[in-house]
Amino acid sequence: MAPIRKIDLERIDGESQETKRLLEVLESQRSDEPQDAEAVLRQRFSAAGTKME
Amino acid sequence: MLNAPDSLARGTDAAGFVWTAREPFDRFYDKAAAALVAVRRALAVHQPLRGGEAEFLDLSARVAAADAAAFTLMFTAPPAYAWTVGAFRLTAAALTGRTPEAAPSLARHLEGFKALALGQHWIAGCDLDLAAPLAIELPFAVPGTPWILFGPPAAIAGLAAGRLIIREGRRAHRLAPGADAGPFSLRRAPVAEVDGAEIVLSPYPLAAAELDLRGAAQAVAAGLEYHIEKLELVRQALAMIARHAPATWTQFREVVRVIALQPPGASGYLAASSADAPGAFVTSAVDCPFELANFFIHEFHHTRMFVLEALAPVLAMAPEADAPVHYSPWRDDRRPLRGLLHSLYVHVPVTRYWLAVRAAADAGAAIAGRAADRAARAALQYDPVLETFERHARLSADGRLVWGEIVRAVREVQAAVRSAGLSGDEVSWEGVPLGGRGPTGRPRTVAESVREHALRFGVAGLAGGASAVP
Repeated sequence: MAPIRKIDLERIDGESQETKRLLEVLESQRSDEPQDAEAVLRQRFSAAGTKME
Repeated sequence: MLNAPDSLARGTDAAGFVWTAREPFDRFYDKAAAALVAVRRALAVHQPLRGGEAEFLDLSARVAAADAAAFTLMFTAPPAYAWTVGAFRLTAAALTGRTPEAAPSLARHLEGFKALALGQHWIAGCDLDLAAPLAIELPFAVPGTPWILFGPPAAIAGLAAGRLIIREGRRAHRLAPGADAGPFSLRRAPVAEVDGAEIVLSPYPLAAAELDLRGAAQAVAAGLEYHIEKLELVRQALAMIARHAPATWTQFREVVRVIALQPPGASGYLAASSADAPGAFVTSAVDCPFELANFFIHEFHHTRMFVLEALAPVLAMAPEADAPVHYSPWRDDRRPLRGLLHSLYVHVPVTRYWLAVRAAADAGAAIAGRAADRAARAALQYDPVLETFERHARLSADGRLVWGEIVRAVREVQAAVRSAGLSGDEVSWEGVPLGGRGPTGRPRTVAESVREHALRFGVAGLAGGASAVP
């Protein structure tokens, strides 16, 4: 089977802009002005939580 | 916004991106993996569980360093995506430290990563020794594999020389694939192998209560024997897709990992997909490979639209502003705009499939009649939905790109229906049981059938009775 392109976690850890953005959201939770993680999930994983029949 | 990092097309062929390219799936899973990496790095630095995250950090480091191909197979099957999104949400909550239940919720969730690590190590053929065993309710599907553990509640301690190590109180069992040990058995779900695809037929990966997927409980009740019984039917349906919908099959064979089957009529829903379980769905095992292939194409395209939406929202509307108030010719309830978007999207390749089935010389008269109905019906049903969407939807910049492609494809498929000589004057096969040779009594036309449905919802636009495809 030839599934989706191989997911290389080390590449994603080192180079991904997405990792940096998501890490910033998590880091901000420690600050006085945390980013809205739920809003980020809606925006960046917008389909999560929905079903279609 | 087309050049923004998250934009859908990034200057590539928009039609390909929306309908056929593999790139959206690659980007989608990279993005999910980025969320996993971000969670790991945030927990490593801030340790909101005061050391309680140590085993997760150790295990996730081992997973990252281990075989990437095995990780990919595990991570593109349920429940990896749902787990990852949940981990991001709970890590954010635990890092704020504002609610006392956040940390214990995160601690419980991190336990679930052991199942993902187990799946990856199983696929890679590596041993795994869990410092603290993973408590599980059975049946337990090993993520990314066809293997299912049956028995009473237990704990998995790891994997050694291809055997699952199970703790039951003070006793330990080493269970080889296909074997029994004490009250436990490790059984392989049937796998439909067609044209290089390996699709697991099993209800258990979709049985999690958090997914709340329609029909999943009925598929579990039907059991593994039911899935074994339907293996040949599924193979035939997959072969139908390969033959009559090759553009879908090229993607389907790479993306779809798990199909759960429910007996027809068991749940009140023919089929269902969840955005939290990409590459998997529940469907009714209707006893006709042509119809089953139709369901498969339909559900696969829900997954594809979920993926497009996760890369960039299509609707620029809050979910609470998208009430289920709109007429859908495909449903007996009213739908939100997002539901209409999905319906339009999935019906385009489905209509193409039925056109191809009808054109095949060997389909037989009954299947050709059904196919003519389906293609002509869809071609008549699109326009009121297009009008509703144009009138009410507020689209993002990327959403306009997606919408433009859907409209273009709808017009293309309507032209193909016209070119095939089909119209609303085709005989309606609605209500004809599978295997039936055709309607009995005075046959209605497809246009009459479509019109009657619309009138039941007070929609007059279709009431004029035009049978020509727009």
